[in-house]
Amino acid sequence: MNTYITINYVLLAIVFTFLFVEGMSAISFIYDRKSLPNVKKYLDPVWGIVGTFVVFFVVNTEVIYPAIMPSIDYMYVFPILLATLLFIGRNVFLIFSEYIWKDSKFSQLMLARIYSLITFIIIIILLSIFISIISGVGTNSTLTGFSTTVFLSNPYILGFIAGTLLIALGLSFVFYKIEKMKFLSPISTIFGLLLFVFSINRLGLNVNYITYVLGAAIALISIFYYATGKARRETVFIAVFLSVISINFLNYGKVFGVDSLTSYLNNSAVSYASILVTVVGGLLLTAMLLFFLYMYRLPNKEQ
Amino acid sequence: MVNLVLFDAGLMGYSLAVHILLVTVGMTLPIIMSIAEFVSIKYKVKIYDVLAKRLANALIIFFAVGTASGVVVAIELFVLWPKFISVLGQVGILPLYMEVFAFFTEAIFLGIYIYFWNKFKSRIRHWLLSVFIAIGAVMSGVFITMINAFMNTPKGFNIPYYLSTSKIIDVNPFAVLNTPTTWVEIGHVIGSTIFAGSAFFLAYFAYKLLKTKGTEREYYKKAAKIAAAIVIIAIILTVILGIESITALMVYQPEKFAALEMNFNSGPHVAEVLGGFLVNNKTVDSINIAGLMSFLATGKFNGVIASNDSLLSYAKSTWPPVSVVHNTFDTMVAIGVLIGIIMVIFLIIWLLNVNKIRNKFKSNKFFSKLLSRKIFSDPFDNPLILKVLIVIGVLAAFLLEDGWVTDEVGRQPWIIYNVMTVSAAANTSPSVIPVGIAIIFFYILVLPATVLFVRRVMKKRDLNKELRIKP
Repeated sequence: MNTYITINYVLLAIVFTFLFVEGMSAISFIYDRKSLPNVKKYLDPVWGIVGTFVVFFVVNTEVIYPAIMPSIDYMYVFPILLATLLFIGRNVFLIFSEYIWKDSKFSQLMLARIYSLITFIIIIILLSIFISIISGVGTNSTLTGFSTTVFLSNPYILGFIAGTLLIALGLSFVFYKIEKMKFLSPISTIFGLLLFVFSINRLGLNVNYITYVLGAAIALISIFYYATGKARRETVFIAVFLSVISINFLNYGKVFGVDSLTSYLNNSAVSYASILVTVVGGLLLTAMLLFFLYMYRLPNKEQ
Repeated sequence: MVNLVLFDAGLMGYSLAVHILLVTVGMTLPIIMSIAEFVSIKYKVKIYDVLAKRLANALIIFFAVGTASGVVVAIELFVLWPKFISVLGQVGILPLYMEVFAFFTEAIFLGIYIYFWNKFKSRIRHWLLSVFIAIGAVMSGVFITMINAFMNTPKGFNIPYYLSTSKIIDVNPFAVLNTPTTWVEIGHVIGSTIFAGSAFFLAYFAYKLLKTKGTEREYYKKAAKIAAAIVIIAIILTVILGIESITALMVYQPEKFAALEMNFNSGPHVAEVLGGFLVNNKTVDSINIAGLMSFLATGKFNGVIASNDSLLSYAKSTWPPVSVVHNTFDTMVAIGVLIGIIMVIFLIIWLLNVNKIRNKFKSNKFFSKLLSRKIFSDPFDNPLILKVLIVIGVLAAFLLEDGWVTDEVGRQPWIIYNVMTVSAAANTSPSVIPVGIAIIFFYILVLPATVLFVRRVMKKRDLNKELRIKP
């Protein structure tokens, strides 16, 4: 296993875990207006960190595989720029919803729902780019063009995206402790998992017992919540993180449908330097995040 | 048919032009906020605490837009200039990577600072967060400027070998942290950014001082004093480091220097060309001051200007748009020096209103009479001076953009000076056009909307309530 690729996979898993949870927030806002305070309580302090992790992953990818960037840029320039544009909208509507004054004609819920919709679209775009890069669907052999028609007409691509979103819907009940129609949680999660695993398998990606174990664990989280009404957010975070990272490791080195990621690796000098920066920066980041978590859990001081 | 290279450059330029305005706010607000909170803790003055809280709320809103805008610029850098980013990735990407951690520092501590304000028992610990936020914001600027310095004076790989084979060898990834222009550029960029940001806020506070009364006016006066102090320090540093930048330009980017000066001469007694245009390789409508360029460059009117500081030493195909950069450069110098002089006068008037200093002068009859003139009254109570400060705020924004255009257009046609041209680096995929246009329109809406939103949020707050004063 290559250290640089492993670091990149870990970052990708963190990014998708955070985005997945944001996707769940987006679903919750639209689905149940009463979930708003609960969702905002989680989302308000962390939205800035999520965005930074996206940048971290993008820059890390550039550091590790600079030679791959021209192909990615040329093929995915439209969806990448579109997602970026929507990212501004995500931040704007989220922060506006937080600070909107009471007598405004735009309610907090309305702004939050627009945020949700935008976030939802961003997640679909990013999932599409991810699955296209890993499976090669939609790309041409010279890696100079991307066919949207080919991509969208592949039923397994749609299955992958729909499956992921169904899992997100199912787990959103757990993460935000939504009571309304909570029987949907295990149904959505299990159906989503089946669709997800079937689709990635049909897309030529590796699936093995680890996938099934993680799938079962995720399903159990939903079932447990439905049965007992109890849930811990950490379990969702860990399960999603492990799922994303396992998909990457099961398809190690795969890019554009073939095993060629190592051929794009940067020269040793920059890679070595990047490891130093990652270790030093990573330690600082871990310390800062632990401090953040500590403060997050600390009760409010009486004013 | 759209020229895609020009479109990419236009889109990138436009996005950066908007982004740097947000950066100035994002870099300056934490500094003002931090000073305000420190004063509030040290001297136990509630009004400074309210100021810090209000600025923190404004900061988080600007941060939301600024951070997203930063992502837009970063992604544009990747997707619009794939060949440039490929070279950068193999040689000089480290500062960009380090910037991520500076960005994390700002984002994480800002989250804790704002959302967990009430969880802190120790106020000084809470204040320390604001210091880290300010450090994170400034360091982001430092690291990004390192990339720009690399574009101006590339280092860290075998350039002659790359030019002949397009292959990168002999890489030193740390060289990008210390190119010949890195530190002077950092000083000038950070100084000018903080100057512009504090000038915006000073202009806003000055406007509020003209419009408010009572406690609210007292509040804005305190805020204006902090902003004014930062403006004065920043403009002095910026002017000094600006002069250093020009010296570095003469040595390391002589062609760019020659274009900025619109200089076709070398040897002793070279004239400084002010204004004017280049028509058929001849300077027209300019004011030429004999020997001044020699004097500015060497300290002597008969000092020798080297031949490589003249445009005649270079092929015309590698000249930047000379008329444009020469005039933006002259405008930048003129406005910068003018603001510098005004702020020094402002500082003198301000100091003369400090009681201890004023009392010393009052014993002298001449000074006593002089100080009784309106112009020497408290500058924060003088409507004329307040109006001048508003104008300076507007000029600061112009100056910032003007300086940035001078730097970037002055490097044309190169994206990496003498290594890679802009056209060689550009992404010529037509897919860029529709989403590029959308980004342009989106920015047009988002920036004013954000400013109006922040203004409205602040307006809705009741100062007396925040100070717990009964009306």
